[in-house]
Amino acid sequence: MVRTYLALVILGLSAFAQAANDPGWAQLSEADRQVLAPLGSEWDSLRPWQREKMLNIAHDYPKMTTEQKQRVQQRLENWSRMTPYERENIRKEYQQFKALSPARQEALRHTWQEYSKLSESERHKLLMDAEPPEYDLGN
Amino acid sequence: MATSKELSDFLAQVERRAFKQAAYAVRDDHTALDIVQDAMMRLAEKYGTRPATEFPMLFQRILQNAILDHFRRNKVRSLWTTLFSSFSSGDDDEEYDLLETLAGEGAKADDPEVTLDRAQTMKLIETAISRLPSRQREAFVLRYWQELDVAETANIMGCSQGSVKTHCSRAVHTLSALLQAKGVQL
Amino acid sequence: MKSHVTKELTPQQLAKVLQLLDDSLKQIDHKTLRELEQSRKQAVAVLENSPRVAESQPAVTGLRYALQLSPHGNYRRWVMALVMLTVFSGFFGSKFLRNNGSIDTDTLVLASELPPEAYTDKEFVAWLEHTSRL
Repeated sequence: MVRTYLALVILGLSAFAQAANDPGWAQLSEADRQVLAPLGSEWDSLRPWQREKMLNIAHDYPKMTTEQKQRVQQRLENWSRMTPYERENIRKEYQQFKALSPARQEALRHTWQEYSKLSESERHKLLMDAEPPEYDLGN
Repeated sequence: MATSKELSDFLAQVERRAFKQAAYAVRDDHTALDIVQDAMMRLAEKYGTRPATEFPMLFQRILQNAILDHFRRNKVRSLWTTLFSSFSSGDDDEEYDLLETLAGEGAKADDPEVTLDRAQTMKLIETAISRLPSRQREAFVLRYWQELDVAETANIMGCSQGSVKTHCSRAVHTLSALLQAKGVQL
Repeated sequence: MKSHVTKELTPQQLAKVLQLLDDSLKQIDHKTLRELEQSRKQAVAVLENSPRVAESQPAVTGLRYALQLSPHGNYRRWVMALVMLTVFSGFFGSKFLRNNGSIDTDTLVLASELPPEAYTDKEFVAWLEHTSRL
């Protein structure tokens, strides 16, 4: 009898470990829920590792400036919908971006701002005019 | 089964060559580093427990696939990488100009009277290698530089031994033409 | 160059080309070498840690043991299951506590002045090309 009880405790504990690692929306702390509010409706459909990444962001939140917090809030939803591959690429691009000199970073940011002001059709025209580099794959 | 020391020794022995090999293919050092890192990880994760004697062939195959994967990915990343490198190349005008000059198809051969120094020749050769059509470059690098035999090269390139020979001889021809056009005297 | 007759490289010249390529290995800059070394160490660490992957299999077995435990099971199994559970929860605990030091890259990306879309927007890249050539 004691042994059966012990077995149940063990199972309960491991289930708890599982839940702590993969918390549902209702199990999140109030603070985490506030930060992750844009994801509220879809949280429970996120994969465990996605939730973990998102929680990491929520835990970093208090360290940010108001401006950064706003940006994170705006971008969170889009971010969660990207494929792991897209996100991984962006992380790499970001690292490259950070490796540039401050002046070049500033130049790129400025260019992005300019670009953001363009209309849809102007943007499209740019894409049509620019030639992507060709890679010879031989074969 | 390989020990971690065997893996470490093997990678230390091949990493520079692998980096150059990737850099010739993708023409970008950052990307080449990523590719080599990726290949090293794949080797350790998937084949780390194989005997160390199998590492050279396994690693070459993984590296080749990692390079191809890079090209298969969407072009946006390549564009960014190209842009980043062009953005940062302003710091090194001399090198940039050299590459620019080489990029022009009709660039005139350098004056034969002017002897290129060793470093310049090296640079020109490296650029020429990276300008070879990719199958020719693969064959050239694997067969001549990595000194694999025809069968091994064919295995890695996924083609017949006859094709390897054809690619190799074309590679030498193209390389001769490229170097000649740049006035490289060997 | 197409109008000229190409003189094929002689075997000696080819050997020289290969020699120069070998020499180029000695001129790889320090930063690149450091990064290669780091990548190598990471890969070796993966292999060194793989026995730990093997250890986690008994953990699964241990849980399966626990599921199959009957009051008639022997004590060894119980001890085993408890040990495995400790290992298991340690694993979860470490995974959970991992991120209390530095700021996560994802946070940095999201908080950065340049939004994530900037990196994936083909049209922006085209625009960049356009402006950087002026």
